[in-house]
Amino acid sequence: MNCVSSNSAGWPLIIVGGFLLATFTSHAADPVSFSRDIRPVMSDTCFKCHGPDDKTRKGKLRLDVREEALKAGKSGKVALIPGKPEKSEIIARLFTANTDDVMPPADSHKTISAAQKELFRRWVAEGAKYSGHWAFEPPALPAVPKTGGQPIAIHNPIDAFLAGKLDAERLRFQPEASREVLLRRVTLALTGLPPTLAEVDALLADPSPRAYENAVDRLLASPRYGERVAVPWLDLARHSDSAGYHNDSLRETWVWRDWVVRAFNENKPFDRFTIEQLAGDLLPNATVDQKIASGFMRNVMTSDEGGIIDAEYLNIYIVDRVSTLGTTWLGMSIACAQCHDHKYDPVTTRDFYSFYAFFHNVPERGKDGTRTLNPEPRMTAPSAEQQKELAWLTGQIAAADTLAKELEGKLDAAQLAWETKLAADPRAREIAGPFDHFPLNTDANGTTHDGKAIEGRLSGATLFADGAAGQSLKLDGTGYVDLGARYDFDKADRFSVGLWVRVANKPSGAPIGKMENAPHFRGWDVEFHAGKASVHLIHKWPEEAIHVQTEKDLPFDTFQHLAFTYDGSGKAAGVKVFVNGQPVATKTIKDKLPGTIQTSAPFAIGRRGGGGSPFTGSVDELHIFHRILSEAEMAALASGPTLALAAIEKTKRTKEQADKLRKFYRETQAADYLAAKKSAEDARRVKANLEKALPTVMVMAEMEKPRDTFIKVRGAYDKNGDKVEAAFPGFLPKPETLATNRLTRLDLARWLASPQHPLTARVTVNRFWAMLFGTGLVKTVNDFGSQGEWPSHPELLNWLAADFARDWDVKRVLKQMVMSHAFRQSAAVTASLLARDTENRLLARGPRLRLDAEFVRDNALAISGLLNPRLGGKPVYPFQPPGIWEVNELAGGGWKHQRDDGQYRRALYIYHRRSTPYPSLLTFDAPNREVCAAGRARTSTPLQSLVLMNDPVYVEASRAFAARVLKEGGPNDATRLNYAWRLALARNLASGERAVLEKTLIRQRELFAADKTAAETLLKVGDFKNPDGVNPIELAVWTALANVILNLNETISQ
Amino acid sequence: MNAFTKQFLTRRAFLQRNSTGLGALALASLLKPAASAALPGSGPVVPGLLQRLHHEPKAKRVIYLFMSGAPSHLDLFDPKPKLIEMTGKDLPDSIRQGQRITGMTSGQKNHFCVGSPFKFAKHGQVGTEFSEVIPNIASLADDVTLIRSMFTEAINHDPAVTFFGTGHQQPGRPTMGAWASYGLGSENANLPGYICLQSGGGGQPLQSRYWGPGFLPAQHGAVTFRGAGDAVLYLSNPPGLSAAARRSTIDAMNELNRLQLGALGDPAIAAQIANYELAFSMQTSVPELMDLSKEPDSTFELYGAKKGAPSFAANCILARRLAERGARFIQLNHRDWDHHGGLPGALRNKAKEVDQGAAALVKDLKQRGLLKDTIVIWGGEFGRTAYSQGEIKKDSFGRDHHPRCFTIWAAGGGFKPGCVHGATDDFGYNITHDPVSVHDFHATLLHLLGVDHLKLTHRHEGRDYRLTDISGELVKAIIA
Repeated sequence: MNCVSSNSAGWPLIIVGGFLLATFTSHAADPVSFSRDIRPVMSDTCFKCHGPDDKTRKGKLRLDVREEALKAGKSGKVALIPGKPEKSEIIARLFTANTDDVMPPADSHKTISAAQKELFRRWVAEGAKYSGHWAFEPPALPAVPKTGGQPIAIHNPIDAFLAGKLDAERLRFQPEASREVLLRRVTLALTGLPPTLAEVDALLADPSPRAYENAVDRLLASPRYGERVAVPWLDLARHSDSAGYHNDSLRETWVWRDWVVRAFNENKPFDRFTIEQLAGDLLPNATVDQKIASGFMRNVMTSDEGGIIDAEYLNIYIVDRVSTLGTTWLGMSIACAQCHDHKYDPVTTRDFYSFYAFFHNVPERGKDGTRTLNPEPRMTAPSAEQQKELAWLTGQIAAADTLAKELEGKLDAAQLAWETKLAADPRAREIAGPFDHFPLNTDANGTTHDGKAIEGRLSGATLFADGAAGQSLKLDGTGYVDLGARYDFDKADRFSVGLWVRVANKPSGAPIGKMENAPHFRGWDVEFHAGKASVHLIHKWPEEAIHVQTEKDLPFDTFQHLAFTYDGSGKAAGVKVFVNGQPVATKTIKDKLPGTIQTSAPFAIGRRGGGGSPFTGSVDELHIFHRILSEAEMAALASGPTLALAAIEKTKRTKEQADKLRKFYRETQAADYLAAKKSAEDARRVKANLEKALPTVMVMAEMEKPRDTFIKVRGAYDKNGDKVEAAFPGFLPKPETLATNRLTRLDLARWLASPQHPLTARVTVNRFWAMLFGTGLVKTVNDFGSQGEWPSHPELLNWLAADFARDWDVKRVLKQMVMSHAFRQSAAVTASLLARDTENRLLARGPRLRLDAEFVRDNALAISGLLNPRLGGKPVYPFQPPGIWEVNELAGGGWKHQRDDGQYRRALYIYHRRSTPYPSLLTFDAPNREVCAAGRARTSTPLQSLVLMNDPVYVEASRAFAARVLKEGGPNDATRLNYAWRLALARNLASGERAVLEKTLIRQRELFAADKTAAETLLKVGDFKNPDGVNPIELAVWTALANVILNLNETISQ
Repeated sequence: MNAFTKQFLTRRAFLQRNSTGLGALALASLLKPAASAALPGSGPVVPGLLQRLHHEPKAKRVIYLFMSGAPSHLDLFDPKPKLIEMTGKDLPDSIRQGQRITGMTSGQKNHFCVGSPFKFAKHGQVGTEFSEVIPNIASLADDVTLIRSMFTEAINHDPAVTFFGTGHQQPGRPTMGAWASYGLGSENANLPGYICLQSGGGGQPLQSRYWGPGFLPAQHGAVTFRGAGDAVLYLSNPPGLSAAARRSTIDAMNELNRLQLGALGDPAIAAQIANYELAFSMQTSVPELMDLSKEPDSTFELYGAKKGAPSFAANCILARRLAERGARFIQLNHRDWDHHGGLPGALRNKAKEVDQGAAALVKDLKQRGLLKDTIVIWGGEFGRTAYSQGEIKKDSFGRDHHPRCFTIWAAGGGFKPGCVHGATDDFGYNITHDPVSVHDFHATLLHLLGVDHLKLTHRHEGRDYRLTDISGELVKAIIA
């Protein structure tokens, strides 16, 4: 097997050796193991032509099944004769010098080493025994070995298994790392954040032998734990805040992400965790939370590209789900079987489409049909608080509806009483005084409420003709009525004005106004312009004025009642406009009135008193009030003719008249009834707004009538082969009792979550191991098939898996791992050990890993004190350089850098867009989440150096870190340097390190003292506010120093 | 402190320690000018997966001019007088043969043929016909291989671009450039091996996966050199931090990292020390590369670029400068070729944006002696239909996506000059001679780089993947 590392080009990387092969294969004395020694070689070199896929099989020879291999092939020769290597064709072909006969053939580009050939010979001599692929057999709980030879007393079963191998290799564990280093390692490993100084000091001061364990328990109980362990799970789930294909529009997926974080924090057992995510919607009486969980498989990328074919994309989505299921729970790719039977593993195309059938019944489309919303099926996901508020509003609506209904029953009686009163007292048909009234029937004179006459002087062309009530004053733009110094309201006065107008379809001017001319236009008026009515209250036009305008156009050439009230507030909001007795929506165009509106210009009908804005049209029944009218009064004011109907005897009214009166009463006069209706409406509106703002989440659902599933011939979406049903694959154990009905996703989930399942527990503990120790016990975390690597410690893996499957307790298993000496030992390595075990598979030293991308950033923010610890919620927009999202433009906006403290939340919460992911996270190997990804590469590149040195996020963190050190770090350079060091690395500064930092301080002081402007410029990067009164040169110097510390390998490693 | 870690304590000793990988890389950056980088086969400065090439290479690097949105072969490269004759008449069923078409025109009642409004004329000694809207590209007739018989499997942009880039329609696999970086390494330690430049706006969106590493480690994805701000993200020191102040911080980081290396011996620390030196040298080498102010006026005239204005032509100048400095794979994305409507006007404009720059790049590489080992590829993700999308108006019509044939051209690096390969039927609808699949093209491209496409593989989830997926035949007829 070739161990060439994938990390070998482009940017420089660590050199990886080929040591492992020697470690994990057979020792001469042991019998040859088919599973360990033979099958992987066969898988790599033989199965392509002599394996499970009968379409590509050559020479009629099949080697992956013993019975087949013992039969004669096409040539008539027998490949395997147990115990007789000299007679077995396979051995002859391996060893022959004849290039025509030799296996593997030259054109396969495969070779088998001499040592491997020898193993084959021994294996045949020992009886050519086959065994199943190890990972497909349920794990038994092996006995924990007893070992000696190690410098520590062994209590943890993990250490016992590891020690066995170390003994054999004559290697020893390292002593335990110092407490500070260990606490930092475990804190970063379990929470993705560094320990606080208080936590470090507490551990150092704790003499209890349980001190470390207590710290571990504290970390596992911290909400930060869920945020950390969620990250690799989100990689598997290909979780993102965007759709993925084509224009890659944004989605609302954070509710599901929060579910994952919560599930880890609540330590949901992994079997429940599995079942709810694959089939939460199918659980009996599924809760909102369980339905949310089912969104796991909705994280598939979808497309809304114009012109795509539904069936093609639906197929893509389901294939992705099967692949994701394979990688996540089976730890192997089964995607090959989409087109043909698997070449190396016993996964058939039928198996693949049997899995496919489980996911084929979701009511969804290939073209997802939305660029703004989550595609169906989706549901709203109110928080507990929102659920409470919704319930309260529903109650309010019901109560108000009941009350309105009750009052409605009494309305006819109430109307009768009202009519009787009106009929009896004509004055009751009018609005309560005091007001001035201009009937404008035959002249321009008016009366005050108490009957005094007001003389109006007509000028220009005026005419009295058809009106809204009686006649009206008709004007052609030259005529007007001068009413002198009346109605000289000021900005603090309350008043109301109402009039009937008919407006001509031309520049139509001000029907009334008390306003002077240019330059100030001081005063007030009502003016029509381009179909809309305006109210002006002006001190100095245009800067100091209120201008309110109707939103809608009013009709031309028809009488309508126009009115407004003003509440003396000096604000545009104090002006309310009514058309035909009903309030109408207005737009505020100007809203600043610092001074008086009183003017010496007269009040006029037909123009502004000063002479401006002459009016063309008709004016009738002008009322002016020195108070504010209520809505009911306004309705009545506009309904003078309707009120007159009340005086007609009930039996003598026409139906039209009766209806009009009834409508008027119900819509304007029935105060209690109207109030009840209004409160129901208000509550409905609030509820509707709340519902509109509720987050939604994509969930799984089943179609009532399931779709038929067919094998897709060679994977082509439009070429159906045999029909298949949802089923479990043949190569893995099945549950004992199978439902007789069609299998559902719930059956699938329960099968995976069974303690007997050979893969789920192994694959999962192996990923946990890789998370904490850097490399899985099976290095190929995404391949437990026969192409995968043999485990470094098979018995340990079996033990961990069987132990995990007892209770599926994730925190317990992680705790067990970090409590091991293997985890706790020093990471220091000698040259000879490094050469023997480059990847630290034997754990003869502690794990030392570069932090994952998210935690590189979180760690820097935490050290600097900027980190905002808010848990969960909508994704955030921290600083991102311009031009990232723009490569794939979004309808409706791009990246909006948020300037509040949301930008300092953990990287887990940064908006993740698949086509254009957050660049600094990509640079540190975060996957783009287009497809399921198990495990990340850990590269080291100069682009990472540029991020840490120059990305404004890290420069801002350096500034905040510097300010923190100056404030909290004691009186002088020495105390501050040590404080900064401990904040970042938990440990004290060593003397050599101190010398470097002191030298750097001197140099930076020299540079910044010579250029204060540079210091001030540096201190402006980012939104962090510099502390008051700090010397900018010192702050800049310490910023540079903080930048050094944030860039250290130790800072970004755990 | 042990003997092993001691070796790391002086920078020079550390750099000299390894003859491959890190040491060689950093040494190269210190001791060798980038221009003298070694030939592939005798050892790039950043080694790739392949210790040795599979055969003698003809090309060392690739410049891929990706025309996003899919330019019409019928209006640029593949003249069809029959379509002019048939304009306004339904495409015969004998031609369409039940071929699936996109949801954008599958509902159309008629599929009326439409001829190209542009004149075609013969060019060069070979007499290849090109459209009048690309006179400069036409002038390369004797230099390029014109493949008129490309076909693809996807009918929509996203899967088709992904397919042309990675050999697979679904996301997750490495692009051509990533495979080149992975397999062949880089020839300039101060620059990334795979670089991407963008121009044109609007039209079909781009995805970073179109130049991404897929399942290969992140460093094999292209680094995007940007037109505005820092050419490489975070390249510049923060405002207020001078080069001297930065140097002082890097010295401090390296000294502190070296102390830690001495204490722990973790080679990851050594890698990081080298990376800070590389980052520091990139701060000089990248702005020098991007600075076109020292290019003579004649360069701008040749490419049709304006000084200081970002454009496709300016990117072509940068591509040449990158090629000179040994970049392995340079990808220029130019957008908005998706002419579903208003094709005559829009195509003419689009052609004008790229014609002079693309042609000048080939000519310039040739006159500098670089074309012999640099491949230039020009093309989109599929072709366009012989029939009109929407109504045919006097000066306007559209063409929908067409996967069954399209034209691309390539020049230099072992592609046969003055070669026209493959042919389509009278409608430019089906291929009649020498079909070339995307996988065939990839196989040929890798071959010219000295790589057997069957042998450059990466194991992922238990399978050995390659750029050509499970097919790909070398197209010998287009190799010089």
